[in-house]
Amino acid sequence: MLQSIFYRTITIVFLLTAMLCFFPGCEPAEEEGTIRIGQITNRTGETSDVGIPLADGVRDAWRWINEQGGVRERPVRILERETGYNVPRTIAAFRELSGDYGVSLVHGFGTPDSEAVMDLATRAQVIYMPTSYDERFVNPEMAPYFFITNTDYSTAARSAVRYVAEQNGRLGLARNSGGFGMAPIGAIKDEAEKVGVPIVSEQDMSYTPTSAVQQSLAFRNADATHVWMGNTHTAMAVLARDLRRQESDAVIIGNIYAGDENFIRTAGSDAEGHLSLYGSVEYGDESAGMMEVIMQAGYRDPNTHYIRGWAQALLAAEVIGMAIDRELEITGENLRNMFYELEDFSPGGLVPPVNYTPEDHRPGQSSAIYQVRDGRWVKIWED
Amino acid sequence: MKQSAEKHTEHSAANGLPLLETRFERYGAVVLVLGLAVGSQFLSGYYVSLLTTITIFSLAAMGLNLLSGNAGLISIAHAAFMGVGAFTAAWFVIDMGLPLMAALFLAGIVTAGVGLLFGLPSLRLSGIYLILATFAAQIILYWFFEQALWLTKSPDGRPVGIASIAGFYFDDSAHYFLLVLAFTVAGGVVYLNLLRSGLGRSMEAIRERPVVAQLMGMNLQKTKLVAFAAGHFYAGLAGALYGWHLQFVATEAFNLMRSIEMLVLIIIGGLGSLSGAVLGAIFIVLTPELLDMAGNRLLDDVSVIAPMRLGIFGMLVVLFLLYEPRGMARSWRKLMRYLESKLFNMNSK
Repeated sequence: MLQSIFYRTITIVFLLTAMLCFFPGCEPAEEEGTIRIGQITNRTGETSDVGIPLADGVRDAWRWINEQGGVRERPVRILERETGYNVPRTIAAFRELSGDYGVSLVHGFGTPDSEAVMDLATRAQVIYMPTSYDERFVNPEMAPYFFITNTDYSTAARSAVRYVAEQNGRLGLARNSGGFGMAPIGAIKDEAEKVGVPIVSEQDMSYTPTSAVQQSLAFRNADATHVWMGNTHTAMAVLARDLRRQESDAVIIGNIYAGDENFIRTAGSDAEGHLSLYGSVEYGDESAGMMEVIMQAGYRDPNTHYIRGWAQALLAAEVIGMAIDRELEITGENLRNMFYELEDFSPGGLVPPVNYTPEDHRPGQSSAIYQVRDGRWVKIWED
Repeated sequence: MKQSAEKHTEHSAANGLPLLETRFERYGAVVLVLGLAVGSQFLSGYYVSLLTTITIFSLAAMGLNLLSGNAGLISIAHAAFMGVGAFTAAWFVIDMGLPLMAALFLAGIVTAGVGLLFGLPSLRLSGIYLILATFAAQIILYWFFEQALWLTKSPDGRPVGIASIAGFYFDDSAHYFLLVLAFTVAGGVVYLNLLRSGLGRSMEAIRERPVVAQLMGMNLQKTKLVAFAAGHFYAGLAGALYGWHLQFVATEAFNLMRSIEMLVLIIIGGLGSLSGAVLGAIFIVLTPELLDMAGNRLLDDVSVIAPMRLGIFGMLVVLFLLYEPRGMARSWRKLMRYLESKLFNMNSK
C-alpha cells in the first residue's frame, strides 16, 4: 500500500516537473531586444563560500542595470545555471547556454570548470568571464574568448615574491595540489630565482584542513619569513592558527581566494598581520564610484568576492554598451573587439583599471598587497 | 513467500533463458534503441548531452552491477576506474597517435588490468573490509591523476578535442550519441550473455552462498577476478567515451563523490539487472537537471532551487531505499508485464 502511494506520488511529481520543464509556454516571456547573458555558478559545491557572493554580485549588478533601463535601454536576461563546481555539469550548461539560448557572453566560475569549456568557448565564439584568474585564461592563443577582471594568479604571485624580496625574506609555499593551487607555482619559482628569494619549503594543504601543524613546523624549521598560500580562507585560517601555536613568525600572503573577509572572521585574532593579494576595494570604501549603489543593494554578507562579481558584470555591460553604440550585433566576436578598445577602464572603480590586447588578455601587470590591521584589510604595498 | 518467488523468477531469467524474456521486451528494446537513435537527431544540443550522459552512465553502471550487483563485490572506486579509462584513451589518441576505436578498446583492457591489480586483495577480503580496500583504490588513483602529469597534463585534466573515426569528425553531438549508443547496446548484450553463462551463474552463487559455491566446485578466486576485470573493462570504456563526450577529461569528474553516486545509481536502479543500470542512470542524471530546470522555468532564478537540490535528491534516495529497496528495475518489470498482459489481451480480443 505504502509502496503504491510512494510510486504514485513520485510519478505525479516527476511528470509535473517534466511538463513544467519541457513545456515551451513555461519559459518566461522576454521583451523585444532582450540581451541574453549566461551565468554558470557554484552555489552548492566545494568553494561555494566564495561562489555564492560572486554569483550574487553578478546577479545584483545586472538587476541594478535592468532597473536603470538596461544596457542602452535594452533589457538583459540572466540565465543562471548552477553547476556546483562540477565539470561535466558546467560543460552541459555551457552547451545549453551557447547552443540552445544563443548567448554571446557567459559569466563563469572556477579553474577546472572554466578550463573544461576553453575549447568550447573558442569554437562557439562566446565570451567567457571566469572568476578564476588562472594564467592560461589570459593567453589569447589558448583562450581567445576569455576575459578576467583581476590580475591573474601568476602575475599577482610574482608581485608577492617581489614584496618578499624587498623584505629580504625567505619564502615558503603552502598550496593545494589541485589546478587552482598549483597554477602559479612555476611563476613563483621563476620570479624567486630572478630576484634572489630562497624558497625554503613547499607544503601541500587540502581546501578544508583541520590541522596545519606539520606544515607550520616545516615552515618554522626552515626559517620561512613569509608563506605564499594558494588555497581557501579556511586553509589560511588553520595555517595562521597553527603558525602561532608552533611559535613561527612567518607571515602568510594569501592569494585572492585565501585572504578575504572570511579569513578574518574565521581566524579571529590570529588573522592580524597576515597579508593578502586582495583584488578589489573594500566594502564601504566610498572612493569607488559604485560603492554607494552596492551598499544600497543591502547584501547580507558583502565581501571582496561580491564586489568583484559586481565589477565583472559592469565590465560586461560596458563592452555590450560599446557594441550597441557602434550598432554592432551582440556577438562574441564583436564583444571581443570591444574589450580591446577599453583603456584603463575600472568597472565602477571597484577593481584596478583593465586593459586587453589581442596578444595579451592580462587585465593588469601587477598586484597590491593588503594586511589585516584591527580586523580590516588595509593596502600596505603596491607593485 | 512472494519475495522468494520473485527472486526465483529473477534468477531464472539469468539462467539459460533468452536474452530478454518475452517478445514484448525484445520488440520494446529494439523500438527503444531505434527511437533513441532517430529521436536524438532532432533534439537540441542540451538534451542530446543529457541523453549521452545517461547512456554512458548506463554502460559504466553495467560494469559496477556485474561487480557489486551480480558478484556481490561492493566497490566505491568505480569512478576512479572510469578515470583510468578516460586518461588512458586520451594518452593513446593524443600522445601515441592511435585511432580512437583502438584507444577505446585498449583503455578498457588497461582499466581491466588495473582493476585486476586492485582486485587481488578481494580474494582475501569481503564485506566492509572490501569496501575499505576499494576506498583506498579510489584515493590512490585520484592522487595518481593529480600527480602523473605525463598522463593527465594538468591536475585538473586535459582537453581531448572532438572525437573522430577514420576521418569522420563527430562535431555534431547527436552523431557522437550514436557511437555511445552503439557501445552501450553492445555492452548490454554482452552483459546479458555473461549473466546466462556459467561464469554469470558462478558470480551470483558466490554472492549468495560463497561457501556452498566453493563446495560445489566453483572457483571462487577466478570468478572474483573475472568480475573485477570485466566490471572495470566497462568502467574504462565508459570513462573513455565520457572524456570525448565532454571533450575534456576532467580529474574532478572521477572523484569519490562520483563513485558513491555510481553505487547509489545501481542500488536505486536495481542491483544485478540491466534495466536497473539504465533506470538508475536516468534517475541520477535527470533528477538534479529537472530540479534546476523547474527553478529556471518557474522562477527564472536558480539560486532558490540550487541549495535545495542536494537535500531533495538525498530525500528521494532515502524514500527509494525505504519503499523500493530492490530498485526501480523490479517495478519496471512489473509495469512491463502489466502492459504486456493488457496489450496481448486486447490483441486476442
